[in-house]
Amino acid sequence: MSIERRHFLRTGGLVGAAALVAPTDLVGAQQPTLQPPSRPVAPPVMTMAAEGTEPAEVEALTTDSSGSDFMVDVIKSLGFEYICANPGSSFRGLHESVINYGGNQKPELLTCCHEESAVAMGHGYFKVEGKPLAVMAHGTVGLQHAAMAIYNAWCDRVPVYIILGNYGDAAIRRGADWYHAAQDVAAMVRDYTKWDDAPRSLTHFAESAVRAYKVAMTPPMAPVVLVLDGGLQEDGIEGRGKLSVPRLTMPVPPQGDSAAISELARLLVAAENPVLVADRLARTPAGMPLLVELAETLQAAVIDKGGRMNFPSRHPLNQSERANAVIASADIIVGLEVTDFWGTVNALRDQLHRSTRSLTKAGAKLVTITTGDLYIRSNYQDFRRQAEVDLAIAADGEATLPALIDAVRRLVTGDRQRVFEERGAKLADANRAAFDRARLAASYAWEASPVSTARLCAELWAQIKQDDWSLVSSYYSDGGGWPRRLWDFNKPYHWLGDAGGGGIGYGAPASVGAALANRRHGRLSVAIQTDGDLMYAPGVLWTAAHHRIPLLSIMNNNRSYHMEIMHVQRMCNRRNRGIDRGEIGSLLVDPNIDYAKVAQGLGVHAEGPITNPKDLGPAIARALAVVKRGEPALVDVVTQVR
Amino acid sequence: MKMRQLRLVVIGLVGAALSAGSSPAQTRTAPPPDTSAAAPAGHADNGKTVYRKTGCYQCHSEQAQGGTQGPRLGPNPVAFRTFARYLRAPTGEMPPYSVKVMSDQDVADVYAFLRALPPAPPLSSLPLLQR
Repeated sequence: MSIERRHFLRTGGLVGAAALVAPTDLVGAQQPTLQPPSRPVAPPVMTMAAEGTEPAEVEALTTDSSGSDFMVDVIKSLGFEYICANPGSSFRGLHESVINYGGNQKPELLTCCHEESAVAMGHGYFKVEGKPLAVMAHGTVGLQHAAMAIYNAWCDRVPVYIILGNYGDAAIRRGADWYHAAQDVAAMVRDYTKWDDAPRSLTHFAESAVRAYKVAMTPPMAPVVLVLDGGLQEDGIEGRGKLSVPRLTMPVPPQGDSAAISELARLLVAAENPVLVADRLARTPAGMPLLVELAETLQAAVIDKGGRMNFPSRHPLNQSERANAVIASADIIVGLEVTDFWGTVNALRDQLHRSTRSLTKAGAKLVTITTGDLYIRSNYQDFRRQAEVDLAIAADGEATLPALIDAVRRLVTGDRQRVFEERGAKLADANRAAFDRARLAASYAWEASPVSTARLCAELWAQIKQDDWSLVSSYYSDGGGWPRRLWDFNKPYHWLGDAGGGGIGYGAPASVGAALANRRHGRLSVAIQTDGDLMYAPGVLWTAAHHRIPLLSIMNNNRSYHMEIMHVQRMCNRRNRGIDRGEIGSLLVDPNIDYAKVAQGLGVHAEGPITNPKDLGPAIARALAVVKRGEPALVDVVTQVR
Repeated sequence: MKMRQLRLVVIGLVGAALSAGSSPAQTRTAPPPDTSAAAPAGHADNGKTVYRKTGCYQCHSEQAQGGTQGPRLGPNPVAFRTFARYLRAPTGEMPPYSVKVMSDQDVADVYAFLRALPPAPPLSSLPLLQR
């Protein structure tokens, strides 16, 4: 392959290039050996004279089949529905093959205005569909734009399949190719991707493309990177010869050791107050029913930390609203794919002198089941503090639940069953009381302007609850805020978790990506869109409009980066310097941003800003009508800070 | 890009100390705490200004109804002594408010503002919040 390419370049490509620039002495002086003296030199082709001149003698200027055509065959074999990209010349070969050779179907190319949006769309898409999106980007500037979104996906253990263009061979680079090329393209994201490769041949590509998919989708899942050389994409291939598409066989996720599962079952059945804590547990639609089955078998309290949709919000055993109370009374706490288990059973006080304290009672047994024990990297510290536990099962939580449920069932006696039922009744009472407290809390500032966040969520819930809805935004990253307190979350796609890495700018594109996945299922996608987040890359609204992705975005517009204000105020208080200037640097006012106009300018139906809560319901109804026609819509609501 | 998830979770102790109560019975039917009569005279209007200026609203929201980072403070605040003591030396996550940052008179004014807040409408009158 490389021999063919060099032959082509020597005899065709570079002759053509030389012909284009022949009148420029400088180029000729730099590359004297590229112009055979006996060969006629054509004038610049973009002149009238050029059209009447005999073209330079070349062996080939066109080809019917290229390396990137084969790449598309491999990509199609992996089942990608979409490929997101902000266009870039380093992957122009693959771009053309996707839209022409591949027919722009499976994958269909989606036009993005920022690489960060493309990756975050893939992040949100996966959380609904359970399979990755492909993303194309420049290996340098595109990857630099994409880096934060890749980091979020890494921290959230979500696979995104990233394809980067690069002209590795310096001898064929045009001007822009130089600053769009790198020796080791994936180096800058290697600390927060699971695997990368830069294939040297098409056979190498095929194997690495399949391997990348397999690696990305094996728990713990994470982004992967393939670097595609520009020449490898663009060079012609004659016939397929020995090229073949490797078969993909997905590994079975690792289940916990059987002896460890038996021991855990014994501890759970014997416990008086067992607590199940789930975070990134439910990686497929089977995850939530399995956790429900385990919890109901034991009548155990469940805390859903919200990394995924793990447990129905109104299930009587859901004790998430009183997490610290159930942790304090627990005699065994089982962390199921919990990102921060230490932080679940301990508290760290953020005062001048940071202090910690245990939240558990003496003697409480601590158990973890997580793939986090199977794979860890050094540089970025998303692995959190080391928790002291009594039993650590290094395995996939969801894959381990069936065996754990069976083991528990085998141990339950009639006596224990009666204990379980009494416990379950008390937990159900506590769940009801927590819900009543939430409803009461939402009633305060009901008529306030700016609109309270509780009122916003109640108004929205009233209009979507009869639909097959999906809350695609992360809302507040810490557990879900008012929707999780007031709404009835009971389907796997009702809640998708958060950004993972806390990189703001995730919400808007991830919502569009999730809405893209929901579109195929006819679901109503709803986002509570924070203002600071949207301002990172609002162009994703155009992508939603252009590709007819129905999404209802309700702005939670508090006109600030409010979390940061609270941090600065903490410093102001601590240093006794007064708080009156604490907002400097974190407000989004003067001028206020008109999100309705921003969205309208990007082709999205929008209205607002709404400050009177009485205007909110009708505005949501109008926007919903647009979304149900298959288009995105946005309502800008000026809200209280939290 | 920064990590922005530094959690400001207000632990139960803060809620217990500052929230006026968490059950419907407490908030709907209980009379104002007797101990609030011991509060020094305060000016609710200035208290509203101080509440805003000194950033109380950032965690407790603009009508002190509470939020994800801080409990509800009013109406019917806790006893003034408890309120003032916690403000100066919080045992939970709340940052401390020294005299330099909030004078004793300002504390009294904020307390007056919290006492003067209107009650929430009856829950039964809000169809959107029914079970």
